Amino acid sequence: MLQTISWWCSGTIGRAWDWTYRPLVGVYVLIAVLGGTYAWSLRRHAAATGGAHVPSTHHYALRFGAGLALLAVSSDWPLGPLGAGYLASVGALRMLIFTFGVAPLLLSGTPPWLLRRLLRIDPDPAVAPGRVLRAARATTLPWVAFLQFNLLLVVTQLPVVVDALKVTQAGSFTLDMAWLTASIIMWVPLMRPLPELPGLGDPARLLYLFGLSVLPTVPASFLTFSRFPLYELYELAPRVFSSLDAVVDQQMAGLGLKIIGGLIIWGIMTVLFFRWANGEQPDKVQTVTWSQFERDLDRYDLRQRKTPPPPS
Amino acid sequence: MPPRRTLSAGRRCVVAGLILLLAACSPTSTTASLQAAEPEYAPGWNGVAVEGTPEMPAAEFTDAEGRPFDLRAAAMDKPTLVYFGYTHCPDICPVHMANIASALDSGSVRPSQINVVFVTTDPDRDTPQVLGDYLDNFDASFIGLTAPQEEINRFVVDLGLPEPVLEKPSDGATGDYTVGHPGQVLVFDAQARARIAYPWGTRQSQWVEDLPKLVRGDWA
Repeated sequence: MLQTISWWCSGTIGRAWDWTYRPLVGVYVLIAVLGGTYAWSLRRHAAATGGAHVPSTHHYALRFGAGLALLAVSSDWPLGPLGAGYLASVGALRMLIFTFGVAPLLLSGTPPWLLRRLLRIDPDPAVAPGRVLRAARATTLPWVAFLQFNLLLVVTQLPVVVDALKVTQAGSFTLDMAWLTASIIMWVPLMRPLPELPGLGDPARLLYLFGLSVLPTVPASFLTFSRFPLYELYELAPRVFSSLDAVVDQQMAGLGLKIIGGLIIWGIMTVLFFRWANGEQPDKVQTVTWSQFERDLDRYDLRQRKTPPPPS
Repeated sequence: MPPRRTLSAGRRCVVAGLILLLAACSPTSTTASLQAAEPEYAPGWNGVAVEGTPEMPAAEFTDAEGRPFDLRAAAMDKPTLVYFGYTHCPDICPVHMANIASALDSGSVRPSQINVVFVTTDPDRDTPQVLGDYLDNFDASFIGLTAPQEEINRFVVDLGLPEPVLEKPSDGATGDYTVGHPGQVLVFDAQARARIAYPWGTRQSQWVEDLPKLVRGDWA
């Protein structure tokens, strides 16, 4: 039994795939650490503020929980090991889930007060920004976020990188975490979770997303149009489905990255465009929902803190 | 002296969790050990030169149609790739066969210019019919051969390869079992002499590069 336990999914060269469940303990530990820390932070904050943030906190917790659930599903058996060692197409699917599911959900599920605490932002605006905030600002500048994301996209698709890293648990873990971090950074200018961080206006966001939809075409084309399998890992992996050879699997990975990723990005662009166009109409009355109002209170740190009663 | 900064209990837990996670991700996982060491390739080839170029031993095989097959005679005609495997093989046999089939499919040589032979190491389960059906999944030109187990073992050992090992349950129970067998593809020249061994891990692009040289007989 012990031999079937792994810490993190990693590539297997020459070992046949079977549909027997294998526990990936590292995935459970990561989810427990993230979820536990999050729950503990919410609890501490509720105690410190007398529950002032509770209604909007539920909203955040729901998103963060959904992000963790997606992270678990995409890293655990069977998607994790299949993508790490057998099928490039499943590897590409995991990348898409990380980028367009896990990353935005974790980011939008982190309440602004928690993000402020993580970035060591002083409640007093007169205090100069600390090192952590300065680094976060520099990293999430739109052009930096854009470049790092695309650079990582290209680097993590290089055969030499995939074949060297995915065959070990540490390498596979490093790749996954690097990809998740890059995706979260990529989303910051679009979502602007805090006014202290860089953000983009609507037209610039459209441009940013357009760029994100174009650049992945380069690695996706290599995957789709290569005559031979690019990755030794996936080429020499025993077939999971006898009808799916390594080249077809690779083509599916390339097309999935390009088509599914592109459709998601263009879908977001469409929503943003119409929202922007709608907001530009001069006679349009802007309506704000209560939950939006609550989120803005948190975002701009405008809530009145409950002060404990004076000692009698 | 400024007060020493200490981590809160929560942060200590997070740091400890991350350290545990990273420490547990050992690079010496069982999966990593499966990667074969880099073989010493023959200059200009993607395979390893066979020392002494042993001649193909004589043996009485039966093909997938159930007819006697003289492999030695067939090998005198054109270069012959011989692989010893079995159809229930869960890992390397189908990958080897699929890679050779894809290389042939790419058009670098015509299937008629080369023999690709799959000799079973598990004749009990691999009947001629089973062999034929299995190889048709890869390429209809592939030749499947079987013989009594002792005959196959002798043929393999005479070529200087390790004898196949049937890993059947010791209690005599029937059912699935694996067979230990050589992992390389042996290439014989048109005089039926073993020239090059392509180890497990030979890639499609490497086959495409080497197949025309095998057909031309550009031996080192």
